[in-house]
Amino acid sequence: MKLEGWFVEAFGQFQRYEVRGLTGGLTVIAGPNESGKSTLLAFLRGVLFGFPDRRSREPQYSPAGGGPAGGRVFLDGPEGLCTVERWAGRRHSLRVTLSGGQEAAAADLARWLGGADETLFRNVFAFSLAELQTLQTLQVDEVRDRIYSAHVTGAGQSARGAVRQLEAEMTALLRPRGASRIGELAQRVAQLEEICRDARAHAAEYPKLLETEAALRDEARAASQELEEAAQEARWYGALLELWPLWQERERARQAPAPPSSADGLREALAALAGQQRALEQELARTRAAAAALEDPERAAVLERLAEADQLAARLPLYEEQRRQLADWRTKEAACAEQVARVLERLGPEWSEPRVAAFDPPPDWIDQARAWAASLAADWRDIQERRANWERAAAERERLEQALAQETPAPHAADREVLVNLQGKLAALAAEERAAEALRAAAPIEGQTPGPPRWALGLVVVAVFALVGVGGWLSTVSAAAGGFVILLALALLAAFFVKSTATQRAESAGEDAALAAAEQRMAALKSALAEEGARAGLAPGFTLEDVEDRLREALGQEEAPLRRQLLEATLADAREHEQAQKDAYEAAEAAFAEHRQGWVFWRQQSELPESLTPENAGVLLADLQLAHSLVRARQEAAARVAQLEKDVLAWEQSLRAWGEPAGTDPDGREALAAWRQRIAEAQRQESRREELLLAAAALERRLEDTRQEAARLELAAARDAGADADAVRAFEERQADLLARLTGLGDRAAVDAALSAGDPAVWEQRARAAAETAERLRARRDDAIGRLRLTEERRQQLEESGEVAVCESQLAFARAELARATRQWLVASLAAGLITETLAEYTRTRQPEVLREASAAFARITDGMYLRVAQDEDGPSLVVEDCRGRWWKPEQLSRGAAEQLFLALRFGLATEFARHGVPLPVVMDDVLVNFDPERARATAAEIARFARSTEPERQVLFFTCHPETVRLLEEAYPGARRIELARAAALAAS
Amino acid sequence: MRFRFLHASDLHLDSPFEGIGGAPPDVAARLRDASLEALDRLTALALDRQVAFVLLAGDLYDGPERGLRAQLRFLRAVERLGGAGIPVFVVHGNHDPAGGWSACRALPPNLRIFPAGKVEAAPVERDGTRLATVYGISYAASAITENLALRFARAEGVPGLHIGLLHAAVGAQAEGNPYSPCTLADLAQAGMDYWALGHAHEYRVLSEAPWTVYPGTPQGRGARPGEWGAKGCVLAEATPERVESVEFTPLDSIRLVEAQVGIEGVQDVAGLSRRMLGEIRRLRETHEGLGLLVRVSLTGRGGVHRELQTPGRREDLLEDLRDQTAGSAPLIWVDDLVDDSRALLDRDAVARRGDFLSDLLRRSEDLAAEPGRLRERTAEAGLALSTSRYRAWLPDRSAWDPLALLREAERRALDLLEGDAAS
Repeated sequence: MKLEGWFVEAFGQFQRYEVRGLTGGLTVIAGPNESGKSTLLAFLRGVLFGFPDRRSREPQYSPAGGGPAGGRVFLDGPEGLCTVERWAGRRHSLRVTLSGGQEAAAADLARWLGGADETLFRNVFAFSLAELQTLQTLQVDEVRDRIYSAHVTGAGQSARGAVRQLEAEMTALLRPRGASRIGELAQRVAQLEEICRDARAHAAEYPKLLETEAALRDEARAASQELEEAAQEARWYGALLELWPLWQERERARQAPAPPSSADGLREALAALAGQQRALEQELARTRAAAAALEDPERAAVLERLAEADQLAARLPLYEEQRRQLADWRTKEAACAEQVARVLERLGPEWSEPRVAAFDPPPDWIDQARAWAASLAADWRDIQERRANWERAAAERERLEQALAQETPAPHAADREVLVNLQGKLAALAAEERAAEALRAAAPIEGQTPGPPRWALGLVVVAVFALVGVGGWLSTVSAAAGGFVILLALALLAAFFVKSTATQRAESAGEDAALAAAEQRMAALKSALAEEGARAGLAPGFTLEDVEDRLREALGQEEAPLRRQLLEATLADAREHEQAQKDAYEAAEAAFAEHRQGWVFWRQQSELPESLTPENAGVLLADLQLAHSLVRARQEAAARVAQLEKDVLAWEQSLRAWGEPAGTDPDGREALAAWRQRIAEAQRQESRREELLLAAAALERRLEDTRQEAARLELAAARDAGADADAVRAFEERQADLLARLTGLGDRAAVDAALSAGDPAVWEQRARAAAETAERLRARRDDAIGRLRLTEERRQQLEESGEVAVCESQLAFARAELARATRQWLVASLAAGLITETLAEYTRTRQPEVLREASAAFARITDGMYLRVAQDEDGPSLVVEDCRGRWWKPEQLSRGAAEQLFLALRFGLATEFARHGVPLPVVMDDVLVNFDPERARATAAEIARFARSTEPERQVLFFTCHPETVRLLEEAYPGARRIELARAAALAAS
Repeated sequence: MRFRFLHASDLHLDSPFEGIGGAPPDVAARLRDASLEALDRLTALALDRQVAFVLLAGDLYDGPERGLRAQLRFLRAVERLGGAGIPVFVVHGNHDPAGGWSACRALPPNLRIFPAGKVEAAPVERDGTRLATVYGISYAASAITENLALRFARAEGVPGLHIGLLHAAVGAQAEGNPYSPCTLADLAQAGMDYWALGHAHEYRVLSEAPWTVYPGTPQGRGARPGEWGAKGCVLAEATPERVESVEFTPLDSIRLVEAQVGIEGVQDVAGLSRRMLGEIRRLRETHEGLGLLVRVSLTGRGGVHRELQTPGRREDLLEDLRDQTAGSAPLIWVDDLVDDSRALLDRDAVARRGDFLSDLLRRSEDLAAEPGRLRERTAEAGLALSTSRYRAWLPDRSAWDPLALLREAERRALDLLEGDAAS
C-alpha cells in the first residue's frame, strides 16, 4: 500500500495543496522551518485515522484561511487507487471512494491499512523526532499487539482490547466479592433450595397428617365414650341419692318387726331382755375390775424408754465400727502431719500451715507458670538473636559506608569516544613511526660518503703501509713489481668506491621524500593528538598506554556512577535493614518487658510471693499444691477423728446412763439387756390391760343393743301398719320412674343392691367426681374434634397445594439461568485464554525477528560499534551489545545512539508488520538532526536500504529542513524524488 | 380374543421444566401442570380406547420425595381406571425408587406395584381367559447397576401374553451404568412377548421379536434434546397369543420445538425479528392445538451476526419475541434465543490467512484434537468457578461438552477480533 498523493483542502497553513504521483522508494520532502512539514505529517495521520478531538492536547492545525480542516489522501493499494476523505470536527466524515467511483466501507480502509490503528501508525510508520526519542512509544500494548498480531482482517479491536472486554464480561458475571450475576443467581438458587426443602418437608407431612387425623378421630371417639360412661355414673349416683330417703323409709317400713301378738308376749320378751342386761352388766363390771388391776403408773415410764433402748441396741454395731475407724483415722492424721511438716520445711519459713491451707492454687497455675517461664525464656532468646542480627546489620552498613567512601569519582572525565579516537590515532602514529624508522634505516647517515664501509678503507690504508714496509725490507726488483700490483689494486678499489657512492645517492633522494611525507603525517597526527589529548585532559607527550589507562579509567568512571548507585542503593537497603533489625530488637525487648510485666501482674494477681521467679514458679506451685492437699487431708482426718471420738463418746455415755443403776457394769451393756427385759414385760402387761378394756367396750355395746331392742319392742307395740305400706309404695314408684327415665341404670335389683349397701356420702362424692370427669372428658373430646378439623384442613390444603411444584419450578428456572450465566463465563474465560495464549506466542516467536532486523540496521548505522539488540531479561526494556561485548540499556546510550537504536527498531517492526500483513509507507519527520555526520550518512544509507528491501520498493517519505540531510539521502538513494516546500508553501502552492 | 393395552413411562409427574428460565408466573404454572395434564390425557385415552390394562414402566415421579400433588393426581387417575375395571401395573425407576413416601394409606385394588428385590408376576384375565401375565421389578435405589433383565423368565405353560415391565438402559455400556444396563439379547432370552420398558424419554421400538418398546415420556420437560418433539405413550393391539402392532399416541399438552432461523440475507435486527416470528407462526400451524415452548436457534452467516454480538442485543430480541407471542392461545413461550450464527467471515479462509486469527484457530484446533488437554484447559479456565464461594450452587460442568465450549469460545474470540473499524 502506498501513498499516491494528497490534496489538502485546508489544514494549518496549507490551502488547496496537492501532491500526486508519489511512488515507492524514497521521497524527500524538503523545506525550511515553518514550511509545514509537521503539519503535513499531522494531515496524513488525520485523514487516514481521524483528526484529534478538540479536547485533545494535540495541535489542531486550524486552517489559516478559515473553514473546515481536512482533505483527501490518495492510496494505491490492492484494490487500485482509492481516495480517503476526512474532515476535522465532523463525525462520520470519513469517505472512502474506489477508483471506479463506488464507495468502500471504513472496514475496507482498515483492512487496506493492515489493521493498523492510529497509535501504531503514529509510533511506527509516521513519526517525528518526538516519537522517535523514546522506547515507550514502541512498547504500548497497541503497538506490541498490532505488530505481533499484525493484519487482523476486518480491523477488529486489538487482541488485548478483546481480552479486556472478555474480562469485563467475566467480572460482571462473577466477582469474588460484590454483586455479580452468578452471585445473585447462586443466592437465589440457595434460597429456593431452602424453600423447596421446607415445602417438600411440608408435603412429606401428609402421611403423618393422615395418621394424626385417624388418631384424633379415635381420641374424640374414645373421649365421647368415656364421657358417656362418666355421665352414666353421675346419673347412677344421682339416682341413688334421690332414692335414698325413700329407700330408708321403705326399709324402715319393711324391716319393722312384727309387733308381738299379745301383751304377754311383749312382757316376756321385755323380761328376757332385762335378764340379758343384768348378765351383761355383771360381766362388764368384772372385766373393768381386771383391767384396773393391771394399771401401773411406772409402766409408762418403762415403756417410754423402749425406743431409746432399741436405738442403743441398734447402734451397737455402728459403735464397734466407729471405734475401728477412729483408730484408722488417727493413724492417717499422724501420717499427714508428718508429710505436711516435710513439705513445709521444703517451702521455707514463710509458708506456715495455716497459710498453706488458705492457699489453694488452681491446677492450671502450674501450666500457666511454666508457660510464663517458657515464654519469657523464648523472649530472651529472641532478644539475643535479634541483637546479634542488629549488630551484623550495623557491621554490614559500616562496611558499605567505607566502600562508598572509597568510591570517589576520577578528577578528569574524558569522553569515551574521544579516547577511542585517540587510541586509533596513536595506533596510526605508531604505525607511521614504524614506517618512518624503516625509511631512515635505509638512508645514509648525514655527512657520510656513500661507498664501502669505513672499516674497508682503513683496511686498504693499513695494507698499503704494510706493503711499503715489506718492500723496503726486500729492496729488490720483485719489490718494484709487487708495488705495481698493489697500486693497481688500490686504483680498482678507489674506482669501486666512486661508483657505489653515486648509486646510493640516487636511491637516497626517493626515500627522503617518503620519509618527509610520513613525518608530515606524523606531525599532523601528533598535532591532532596534542590537541585532542589536551581536550581529553592528557598531559603532553602522552602515550598509548596513557590513553588506554584513561580509557579504562573513563570506562571505569562510566561504570562508577552505576557502582556508586548500586552501593548507595545497597547501603540504603543496609541502613533500612539495620533499622529494621534495630526495630526488631527493640520490639523484642519491649515484648519481653511487656511479658515480664504480665508475669509480675499475674504473680501479683495470684498473690504469689515476690521471690517467685518464672523459673522456680512451677516447682513451688507444685509443692504448694501438694502441701495444700496434705494439710487439707490432715485437717479432714483430724475432723473425722474428732467426729468419731464424739460419736463413740456419746454412745458410751448413753450406755453408761443405762449402766449406772447396776453399778457393776462399766459400759452399761448388761444394764441395757436388763432394761430391755423389763420393757418386754411391761409391754405384755399393757397388752393384757388393753384387751380387757376392749372386751368391756364390746359388753357395753351389747348392753346398749339390748336396751334398744327393748325400746323398739315397746315402740313396735304402738306402730301404724298403713304408713309402712305407703313408704314402700312411694319408693317403688320413684324407683320405677327413674329406671324408666334414665337409661343405663340397670335393673331394679341392681338399684336395690346398691341402696342396700347404702353410703350416701360416698355416692355424693362419686357423683361429684363423675360430673367432674364428664366435664373434663367433654373438654378433651371437643379439643380432639377441634384438632381433627385443623388437621383435615391442613391435609386438604396439602392435597390442593402446588407449593412444591411452584418452588421446584422456580428453582429449575433459577438453575437454568445460573447454568447459562456460568456457561457464558466459562466460554468468555476460554476465549480470553485462547487470545492471550496466541498473543503470547506471537510476541515470543515474532519478537526475535524484529530484534534481528533491528540489530543488523543498528550495527550498520553505528559502523559496528553496536552489534546486537536483545530483550532485557530483567524487564520489558531492551539492551544493546557493543563491539566489546558489553551490554547497555537505551538510557545509557548517548542521545544520538539511542535515536539510532529506536529508528532501527522501527525498521524491524515495519518489516515484521509487512511480513505478515501490508507494507505500509513510512513517513519520517527530520529524525537525523541529532546524528553526527558519519552516523547521519550511515543512517541515510540504511534508509535507502530499507526502502529497497521490498519488491516493489517500500515507500519512504522523509521530511527535512536540512540541506545536508537532503544531500545525504540523495547520495544514498540516487534518483530519490524531492518535493520542495517553501515557507508559506500553502499559499504559494494553491 | 383381541384386546389392547397402554404402555407409558417416565411420567415425572408434577416436575418442573429443567433448563427453562425466566418464565413469568402464568407460563410457569402452565409448564408445571403439563405433566399432570399428560396423565389426565393418558387416563382419558385408556378409558376411551377401553384398554385391557395399563403398564407404567418407572419414573412416575421425579424424585424420591414424590410430590403430594403428583401422588394424589396419580391415585385419582388409577381410581378412575379402576372404575372401568382397568388394572394398572407399575414399576419404580431410578427417579422414584421403591420405598419413597406414600400419600396413600391403602392402594386402590386395581393398582399393582411390583416390589424391588425380586421379579413378580401378575395375571390379567377377562371373562375367565388369561389375557396376559405381567412380570415386573422395581428399583430399590436410584442407582441399579445390576442387569435386572436377567432375573426375568417366562413361566412355561401359562397361557396368554407374557409381558416384562422394566426400567432399564438397553444397549448401554454396562460398566458404571446405574440404570440396570442390559442388551437386547438379555431381554430376548427371557422369553417375553413384549418388553414394556422405561427410562428413555424418546419413543423407540428396539425390536419387534420380541416387541421391545420405549414409549418415551408423555410430556417433554427440559432443555435436553430427548425432551423435544412429540411425546406420548404406546397403544398395543394384541391377542392372548401375540402383540400385533404398536401405535405411538401423543399425550403432550406443551410441545418443545426448535425454530431454526437462518440469518442469511437479513439486513438488520428488525428483519431478523420478522423472520423469527414467521418461523414461530409456521410451527404453531404445524403443531395446531398444542402449547409450544420454542427455542429459537439462529444459524448461517450474515452481516447481522455482528449486531447480535452487541451486549444485551440478543436478550432484547428474546424479550421482543416473548412480547410478540404473549397471550397466544394455546400458549407460546420462547424459551431461549441461541445464536449459532456466524459472521460473514469464512472460517476456512481465516485459517489459511497465516495471521493472528489463523494462529488462534490453529491453537483451537490443536486443543480440539487432544480431548485430554482440552478437558484440562476447560478445567483451568473454570478454576475461578471451582474456587468461587458460590461453587456449591453452580451447575455440574462435567456434563458440558468441552468441544462445544471450545467452539463457542472460538466464535466469541473471532467475533471480537473481527470487528468493524471505527469511522
